[in-house]
Amino acid sequence: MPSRGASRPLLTTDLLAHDRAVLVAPAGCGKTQVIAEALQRIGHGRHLVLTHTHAGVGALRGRLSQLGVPAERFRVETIASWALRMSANYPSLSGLGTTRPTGAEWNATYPAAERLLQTRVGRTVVQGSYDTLFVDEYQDCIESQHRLVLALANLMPCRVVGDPLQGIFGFRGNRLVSWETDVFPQFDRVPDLNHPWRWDRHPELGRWLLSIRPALERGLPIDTSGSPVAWRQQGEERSACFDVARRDGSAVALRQWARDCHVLASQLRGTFTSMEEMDCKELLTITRAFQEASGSGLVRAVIDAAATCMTKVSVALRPILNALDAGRLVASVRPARLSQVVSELSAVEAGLDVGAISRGLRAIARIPGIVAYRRELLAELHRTLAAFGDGGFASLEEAAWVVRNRTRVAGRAAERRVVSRTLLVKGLEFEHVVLCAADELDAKNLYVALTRGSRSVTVVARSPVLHASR
Amino acid sequence: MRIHQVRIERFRGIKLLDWKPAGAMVCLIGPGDSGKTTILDAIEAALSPRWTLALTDDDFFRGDTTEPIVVSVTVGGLPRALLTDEKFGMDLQGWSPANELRDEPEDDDEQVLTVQLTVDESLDPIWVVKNGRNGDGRLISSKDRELLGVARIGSDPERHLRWGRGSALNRLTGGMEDVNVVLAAAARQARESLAEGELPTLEEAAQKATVAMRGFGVEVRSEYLHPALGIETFTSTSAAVMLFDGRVPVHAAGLGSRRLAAMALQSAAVRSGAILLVDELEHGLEPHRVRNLANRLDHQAGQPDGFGQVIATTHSPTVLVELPVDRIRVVRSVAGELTVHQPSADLQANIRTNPDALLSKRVIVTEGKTEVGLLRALDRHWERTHAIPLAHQGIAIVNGGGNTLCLGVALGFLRLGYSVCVLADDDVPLLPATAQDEVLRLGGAVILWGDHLAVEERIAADAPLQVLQAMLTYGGASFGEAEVVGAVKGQLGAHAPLVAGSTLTAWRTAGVPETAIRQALGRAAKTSFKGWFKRTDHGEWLGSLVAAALAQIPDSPLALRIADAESWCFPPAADDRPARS
Repeated sequence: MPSRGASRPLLTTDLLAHDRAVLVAPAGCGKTQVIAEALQRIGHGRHLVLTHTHAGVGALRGRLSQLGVPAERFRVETIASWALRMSANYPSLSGLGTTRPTGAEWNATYPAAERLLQTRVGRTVVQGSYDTLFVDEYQDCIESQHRLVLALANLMPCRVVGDPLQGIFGFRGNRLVSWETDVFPQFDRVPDLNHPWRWDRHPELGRWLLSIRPALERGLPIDTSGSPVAWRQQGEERSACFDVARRDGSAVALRQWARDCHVLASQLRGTFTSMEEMDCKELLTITRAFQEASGSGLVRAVIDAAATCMTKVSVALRPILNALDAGRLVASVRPARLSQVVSELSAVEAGLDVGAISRGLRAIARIPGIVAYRRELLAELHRTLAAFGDGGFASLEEAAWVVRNRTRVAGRAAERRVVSRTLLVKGLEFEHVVLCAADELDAKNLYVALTRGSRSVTVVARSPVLHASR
Repeated sequence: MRIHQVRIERFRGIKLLDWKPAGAMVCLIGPGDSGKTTILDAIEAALSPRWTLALTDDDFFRGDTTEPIVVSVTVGGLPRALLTDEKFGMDLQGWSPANELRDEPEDDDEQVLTVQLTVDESLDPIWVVKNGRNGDGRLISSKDRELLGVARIGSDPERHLRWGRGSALNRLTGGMEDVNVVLAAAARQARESLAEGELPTLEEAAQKATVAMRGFGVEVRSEYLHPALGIETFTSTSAAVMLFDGRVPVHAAGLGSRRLAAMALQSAAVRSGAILLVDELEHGLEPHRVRNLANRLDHQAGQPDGFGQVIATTHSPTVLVELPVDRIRVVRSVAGELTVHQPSADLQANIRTNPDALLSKRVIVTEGKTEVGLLRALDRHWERTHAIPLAHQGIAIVNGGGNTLCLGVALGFLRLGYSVCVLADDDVPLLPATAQDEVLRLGGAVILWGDHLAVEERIAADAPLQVLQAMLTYGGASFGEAEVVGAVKGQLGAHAPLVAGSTLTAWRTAGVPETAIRQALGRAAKTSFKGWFKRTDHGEWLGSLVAAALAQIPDSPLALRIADAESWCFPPAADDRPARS
C-alpha cells in the first residue's frame, strides 16, 4: 500500500464518532484500509468484523496484520459462518434445524442467530467476546442478515461499510438490503470515501469512474466518448481481448453468463482461462461420471472431461474414439503422436489406478494443437484425483466436494488472464478489463465491471453511449 | 465460582458419586473411610490448573484400569474471560432455579460449564469442557482452568507462602515479569541477598497478605510481612522468595497458622470468588481459632468479596456447632457407591447441643433426659462386660425431646444413613404414629418400656423394693420428704390412709399391697414436681441403681428391655455398618 493522505485519520474519526455509522465506499476508495485503520485506532478491546466472502475475510485479515493490529484484537469471519457458529452451538435456543446447512438452508441461520441474541446466554457471549462490530460489503447483506446486524447493533457500537452501487449478490428469493429504506434510516451516514486509490497511477480513469456514479444511480446513460474508457464495436470482443492480452499485466474479460464465458475462453485459445463458479457443479458431474464408469466407459468419460476443459480434443483423439466405437481396446490404436495418451488411457481402461486418469489428462493436454482453457476446472480435477489416490475418501465425489470447499475458503489461485462474470470478480482487482457485452449489464453490474481495471477499461457495445439494462 | 454438580466415577475409593453441593459453604462429615477427602481430591484434579496429574493404577477404583476415571464438575459464577466465543462461550449450559442442569441455558438459569477429567489406563489426564452438543468436548488448558480459581488447602500449605507457580501469593501479585528480571540478575550476582525495597511488586503483595492474614487470626509481630529469599538452594525463579515476619519465615509457624495464612492469601488473591477446598478445617487449630475460621468462611462464602464457595471436611464438633445445619453434609459409602445427605432442619437443635452425634456412626435417640442419664449409667455398667465404652463403638446418645419430637429426630438421623435405636416411654403414644413405622421401615430399632409405662413406672414396677425406697428418699432430698410422700399417697387412692412415714417396708406392713406401692410411686415419680428424675444427672443416678440391681431381676420386663438395648449396642457379630444401604 502506498502511503495515504493526511485526510485518512479524519475518516476513521468520523466513523468512530458514531455508535451506529454507515460509510459509503465507492470501488477502489480504500474501504478495507479504513476498517483496518479504525480498528488500529481504537487500540483496545476485541472487535468483530463481518463480511460476506472468504476472499473478503482474507483481505481484511491481511490488512489488519499489515497495520500490526494484534490478532487477539479482532475476529474476522463471514456473516454466514458467524451466524452458523453461534446458532449451531445452541441449536434448541436458536431453533436451528441443521448444523451443516447447504444451499437455501443457510437462510435459516440468520434468524436463528438473531433468536439466540434474544436470550441471555447469547448476549453474554456476544458482549463478553466483542466490544464493537464492523460489517464490510454491506450492500451484499440480504434482509435477514441486516436484521441480525441490527440485533447486534443493540448490544454494541456498530459501523457498516459498503456501496449501494455494488450490490449485485442477490440470491434467488432473497432481497438485498435497501439502503434508502433499511440502512440510512438506521445508521448515521458519515461522509463518503472519495479518493480513488486504486487508480493512483491513472487518476483520470479513477476520477471518471467516480463521476459516473450519480448517473448510474439515476439510471441515466453513460457516454464513454472522450473518456479514459476505450469503446469497441459489438462483435470485436475477441480482438479486444487479444489486444489486452498483448499488454503487460493481469486482465479480465467479462461476460453475462457462465456458458458464454467458457465459449469465449475456448475462442481465445487458452490466452485466457475460464473462471469457474464457486460451487463448480461440473467438477462434481465429472467425478460422478468417473465414479460410475469403468473400462472403455471410463476412457470415454476421461475424454469427455478433457473435451470440457480443452480445445480440439475430439478431433485429436478421433482414432481412439473410433476404436472404442468399434469395441476395440485402446491399446490397439496405432498413431505414434498418440502413443503416450494410448498407453495412459489403456491403464485407465484396465482400471489400474486413478493416477492413470490424471496422467491420461496430462498426456492429452500435451498433444500439439490442444489448448486447455478451463484450467481451474482441470486443476481441481487433478487435485481431486490426487486426494482420492492418497486415501481417506469414500468416493471421488466426496474428495471433489472437500477439494472445492478448500478452494472456497482459501481462495482461487491467481490467474493472469481470466474470462469471468461480474458476480465472480467483485472484490477482485485486475489491471485491464474488457466488458464483452456491456449492453447486457444493469447499472450495478456495469459499475462493478467498469471498476475492475486499474490501468485500462475497454467496453464492447453497440454504441459509445452505454444504456444500463433494467 | 460455585460448583453445582459433581460426578465421580471409579476414582480411588469412589465407584460412583453424583452430588449437588447446593450451597456456598458446605462441610462434609462422615466415617473415616467414607471418601470425603477423595471427593475434594477429585474436584481438585478436575479443576486445578496443574499441567498433569501424578496418577497410578492405584488411583482407579479397586485398581481396575479397564474403565477410565471420569470426574465431571459443573461450575457457575464463571469469570468473563472464559465466556468469549473463542474460549467456552459456545459451550455454556444452564443451572436452573430448580437446581437442575439444562444443556442450553434459559434466561433464568445461571450460566455454567461442565469440566470433565478423564484418565484411562495410559494414565494421561484429559481435561475438556463438555456438554450435550460438543461431542467429546472442547479441550481446556491449564491456563483456563486456573481462571476457575480452585484452591486446595491440604497438608502442604507452605506452597502458598512463597512466590511459586500457582501459589496464592503469585495470584495476589499480578504481573511478575519485572520481578523475574530482577531475580535473574540477583541469581547472576551469586546469591547476594536482596536489599529491602528492591522488589516493590512483592512488597505490595506482602502488605495485602498481612491484612488478610490478621483477619484470619494469624499473629503477625512486625508491622508488615516482607518478601525475602528463602535459605534453600537459590534459583532464579520467584519460588525462592517467601514471606517473612521480621527475620522468621511465615512457613516456620505452626501448621494451623500456616493453613490459616494460606487460606487468607487465597481469599485475598482471587477477587472473583475462588472455590476453596479445605481438608479438616480444624487441623492444627485451637478451638477458638476453629470457631473464628468456620464463622469467617461461612460469612464470606458466596459474598461478593469472599470465596465463591467453600467445600471443607471436618471431624470437629466445634465446627458443627458453629455452622448452621444446612451447611453440613453427611457422606456415606456402601461398597464405593457414595451418597451425600443433608441433615433436615429438625436436627439443628440436636446438633448444637450434641454435635458428637453427627460424628458418630450409630445413634440412640431417647424420648427424654431420664433415659439419657440411664444410658450413661448403663454405659459404665456394660463396659465391665464388653470392655469398650459406647463412644468408642461410635455410638452417641441423643435426647429426642419428648414423645412428639423424638421420632422426627430418629428419622433425621436414619435418613442421613446412621444406624438408629429409639428408646422411649410407653405411657403415651409416640407421634405421629406413622413415623414409627417409617423408622422401622428404614431399619431403625424401637425399644419401648412396655405395658403403657414410662421409664419411672417401669423401674418402680420391676426393680427390687430397695431401689424404690432409694427413689423415694432421693425425691425427698430434692423436693422435701413430706411432699414426695404426699405425692405418692395421692396416687394410692383407698390405700392412702394406711400410709405413715417414709419407709416402704412399713407401708407394706401396714397393709398396702406391693403392687399398689410400685404403681403409685412410679406415677408420682413421673408426674409430681415435673418428675423427680427428668434431668440427665438424676436419670444417671437412677440408672446406676438399676444397673446394680439387674442381676436380681433377670427376667423382668425392665431387664429384658435393657438387654434389648444392650444387644443393639453390642451386636453379636462385629458389625458396625450403617443399617441402611
